[in-house]
Amino acid sequence: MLRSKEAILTKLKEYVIKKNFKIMLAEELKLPDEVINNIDLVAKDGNNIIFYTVIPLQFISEPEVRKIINLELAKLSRLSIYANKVYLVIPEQYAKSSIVDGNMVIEAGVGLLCIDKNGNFIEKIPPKPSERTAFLNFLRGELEKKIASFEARFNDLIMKIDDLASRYERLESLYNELYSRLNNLERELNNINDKISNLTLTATSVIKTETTSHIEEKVRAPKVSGELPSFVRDNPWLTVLAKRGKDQGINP
Amino acid sequence: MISIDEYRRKYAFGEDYGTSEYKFGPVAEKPEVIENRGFIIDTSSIVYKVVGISKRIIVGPEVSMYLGSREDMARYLIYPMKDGIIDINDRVAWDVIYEITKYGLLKFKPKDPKFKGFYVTAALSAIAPKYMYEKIFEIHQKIDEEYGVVKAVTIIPQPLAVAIAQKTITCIVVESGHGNTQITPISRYPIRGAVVSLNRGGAEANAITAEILKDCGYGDLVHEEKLVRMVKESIGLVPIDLDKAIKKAKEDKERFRAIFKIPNTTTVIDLGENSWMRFLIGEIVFNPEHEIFESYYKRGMPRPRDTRLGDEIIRGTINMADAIIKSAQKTPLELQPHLYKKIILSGGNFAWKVPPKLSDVAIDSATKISMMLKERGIEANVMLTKDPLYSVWRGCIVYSIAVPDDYLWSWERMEGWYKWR
Repeated sequence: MLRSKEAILTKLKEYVIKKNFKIMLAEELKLPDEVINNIDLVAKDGNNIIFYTVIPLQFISEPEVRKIINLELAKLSRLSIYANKVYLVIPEQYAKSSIVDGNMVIEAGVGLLCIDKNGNFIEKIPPKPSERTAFLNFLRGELEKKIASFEARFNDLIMKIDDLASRYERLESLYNELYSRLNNLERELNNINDKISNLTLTATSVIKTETTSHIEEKVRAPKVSGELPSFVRDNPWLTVLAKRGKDQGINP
Repeated sequence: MISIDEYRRKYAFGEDYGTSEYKFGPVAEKPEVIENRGFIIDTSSIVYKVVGISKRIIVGPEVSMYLGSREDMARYLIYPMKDGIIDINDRVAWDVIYEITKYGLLKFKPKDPKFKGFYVTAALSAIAPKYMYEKIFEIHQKIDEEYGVVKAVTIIPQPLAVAIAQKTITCIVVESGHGNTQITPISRYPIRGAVVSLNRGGAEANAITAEILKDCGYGDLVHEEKLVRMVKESIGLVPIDLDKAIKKAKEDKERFRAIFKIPNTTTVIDLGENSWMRFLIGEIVFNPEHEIFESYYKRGMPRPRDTRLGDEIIRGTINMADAIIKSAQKTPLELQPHLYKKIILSGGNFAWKVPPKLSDVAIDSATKISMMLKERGIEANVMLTKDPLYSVWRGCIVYSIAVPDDYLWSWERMEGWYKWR
């Protein structure tokens, strides 16, 4: 005799497989914990989700069993938003009016599946397919399509942003390199300008009087006689310093 | 053609009193260099009495022969300057300066009977107080009275010497050493009222390097100051933009990985996941007020002290570009654009390397300051000194050669030859 919940569940799985349903894990449907705790088996028939809850044979009085079954029916009636069909599976011995209130089962929309002592299942009361679930399934399908479309567009956008970011980085690095080169060029240009102005002055050998404004004044690098270190040669400070004491009033 | 007096060409003499080194010598391409330190001989020691050492203070290369234990070094080895300054009452430090100066002048004393003494130009920090000038003159006079080697002496601020060596008449010289950074606008003369002296320098980069080493599990190594400096110089980078550099370094950890092997040891420092921190080392020199440094200040890293420019208090953490602008703003309006045309960076704190493979995120000091100024709407031409080690001394030599003999020292102008004979 099939007494334990495990034994009934084993038979139930065989029955479900025979009917070409696919057994699923409750977690696969991402159901809330309170739902998972109330169901023993989840199966899929095409697009329909079916929940099974098993009440095993117990050594308790009939009124107590009735109480348990009614309580279970109340819980199962709330699961119709998650599944298309919900079954309560009970041993055949319980399928009598003193224990199961048939009207209550029908009203709850729950199917009643009984297992006999040989392990055969008889569908005593068929479940009422949930229209809300069908509607939700429809909505879910639509949402999934929309999400997939958004996802594709989003991925496309991300790729474009990545592409732009990498172009921006390349440009920034190019800009920095150019900026650094430009700085070097400016420095070189200044050096060249200094050298040209020194050369011109040497060639003409003309001593010009310095302008009164010490700001704008270009100080000529003097040509000094004899061998001197490179930092002394063509140093405009030689002219400036040689006039110390002769340009009173400039010292700030 | 300017004709340089033959005597001056032969006997011009330059002296650069740096915090760590004293560079000296007559006209040449390069100066002689010794460490600015002296070893005090314990006159009560038996060795002193038995061996018959006649000197009380040893300077120059000879010092290394006297070094003993670490305790001895701390006790008897005197570095007279701290951030370019000597306390007026630090008698031992002034004695060391006397010995160092004497060593330099006597090393080059010629046998020429026509020699009547050197024309000496000494360079001191731009923020050296007046008493330092007086003491340096006093020392030269004393040495001349003893050995007849100084005909005249003058003192110029180090930034002016840099500008002279760089052959630039109108410019801003930014000199950044270990303990402080001086920003000096120059237009033929140093504009003393516009000198900004920041209480920070290479020491701040050392401090953050030590913090980083602690964070990466090398806390036991941070007590070796020289080692911290080596790590800083080896792995520190100046970022173009700190936030972007950190982001990139976190994304591509291997490319930015900072590894340093301590020479002649088996110890390897690997910043690993924290290699992005190498950008903090360079950034703190230029912008220590970046918010990222706040947490370091909170946990005890010293925050640079505020400084004064005339009536204005300047934050110790002011970024380098703003400090340069503040200094330039103290000069006449029409001069400012000319000053920005040449900003000269001098001193070891600007010598940052740019590894070629990281040139998309790291830059040299000149480009960093140029970019910072550009962000503030100022187009500036920033350059690093050529031959930074010798530029101050070279400026001194040019000064000694060129300033007329009859231009005598004036405490008002702080210029001219100081003479006593």
